[in-house]
Amino acid sequence: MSLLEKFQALRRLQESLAGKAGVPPVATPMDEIHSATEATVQGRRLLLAGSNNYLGLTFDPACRAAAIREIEAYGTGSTGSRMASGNYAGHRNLERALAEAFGWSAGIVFSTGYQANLGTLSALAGADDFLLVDSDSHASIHDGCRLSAATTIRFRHNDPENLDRRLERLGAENARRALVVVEGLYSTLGDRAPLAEIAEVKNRHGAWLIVDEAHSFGLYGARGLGMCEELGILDAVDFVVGTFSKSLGGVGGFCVSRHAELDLLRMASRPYIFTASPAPAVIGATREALRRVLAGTDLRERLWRHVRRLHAEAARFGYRLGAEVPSPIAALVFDERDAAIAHWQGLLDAGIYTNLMVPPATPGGLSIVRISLSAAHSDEDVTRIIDCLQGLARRFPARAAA
Amino acid sequence: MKDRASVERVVREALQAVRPEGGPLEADAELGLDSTQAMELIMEIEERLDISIPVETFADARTFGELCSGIERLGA
Repeated sequence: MSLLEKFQALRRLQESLAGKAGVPPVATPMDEIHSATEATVQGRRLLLAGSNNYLGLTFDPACRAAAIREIEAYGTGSTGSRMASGNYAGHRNLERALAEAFGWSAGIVFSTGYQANLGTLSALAGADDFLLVDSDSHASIHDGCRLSAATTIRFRHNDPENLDRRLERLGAENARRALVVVEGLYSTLGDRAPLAEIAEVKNRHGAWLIVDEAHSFGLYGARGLGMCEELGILDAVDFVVGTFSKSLGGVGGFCVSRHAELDLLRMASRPYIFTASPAPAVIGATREALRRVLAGTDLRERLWRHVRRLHAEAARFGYRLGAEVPSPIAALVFDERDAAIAHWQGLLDAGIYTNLMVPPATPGGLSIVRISLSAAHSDEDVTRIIDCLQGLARRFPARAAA
Repeated sequence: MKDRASVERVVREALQAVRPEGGPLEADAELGLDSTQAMELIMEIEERLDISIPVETFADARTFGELCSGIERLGA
């Protein structure tokens, strides 16, 4: 078999996902972006309900002004690693602001959310250590484990008892070298981690805990710090990882910790060292977005009003949702791929963009239409989504209730 | 410590539970599981042998025989 032969299978997969003529559900070409909630795709103006732009801050006037200010002051790019010439005041200030928000001593900014997990996990866990990872974790977590020299053991999704057994098998000595890796909110089904139970298990074994708040930072907790704050377990958490590219409307990621040693990761983390630092504009906008998140609850409250409304209505129409507790990710779950595609297409025909997720990219072989809401959505936008779902549930009654 | 024959028997049983339609396996037969099946297989074997199987052990095993050898090396 020659070098490129394996790509034939990917070509077939790409063709099957592209479907017939029309808007492709994968790598949908966004030609113009009009606001946090509207884009033009193939000449049609669509309502965006699948962009994880939870607080709608990508078009916030203050965030945009901060980005422009930063470009004027520092230029378009840093052209260097943080370990070389790319270590700007903006990066250091943002790290300080993130750590202070948690009341912790250390914070590191990474160039993407993907790199935040890659850079943190690979450097935290060394050859003699253990990574105990929830099986439904994001690819960046699994890849971070692969980059680490540690032994990686997966435990059953959201199953503290399953985790307990694996820590037990490690023995007391090894368990103290084990880092438990979970997410606050899982992005495929929108289900929460049972963090209090997981924290109890890791405490009992003397292990360590890192929580990825990619889809929960800015949305949960009294101050918007995420699911750990919401559930009151920040004291039991060793490290929090997050992203700038969801609620904060930028791109990049971070890790914060109560342990001062996190700062020394800079010396060891290859995804931190061997890449250029984030562009000044991104850092400026993110710093402003963080200020906005910490300053008040108005955006969160608007988002949650939309979330509760959509969840209740979708359930009333007979849809099976990925999680019982409403979250900013409403996952409509179908047993059949065709049913999910029909719903995704139906929403698109009504001018609403959502995410289509089909096996093997989904847990349990499920097919999913994922709707993510934004504080920037108006009540009318949400009504439009709800009305469309009601129509689709009538058109495909058995499928919706599958 | 389990001998080779009992490791093979447990892996066969676990495969049967995860993928009932699959027939008997030769040592060099490719496992050919999707990621969900692979996860279930590992969990089944872990329960049956009361061990934890590192991700690396499974990632290195393409065939039934290689998986059994990897598990044997864990000292199951």
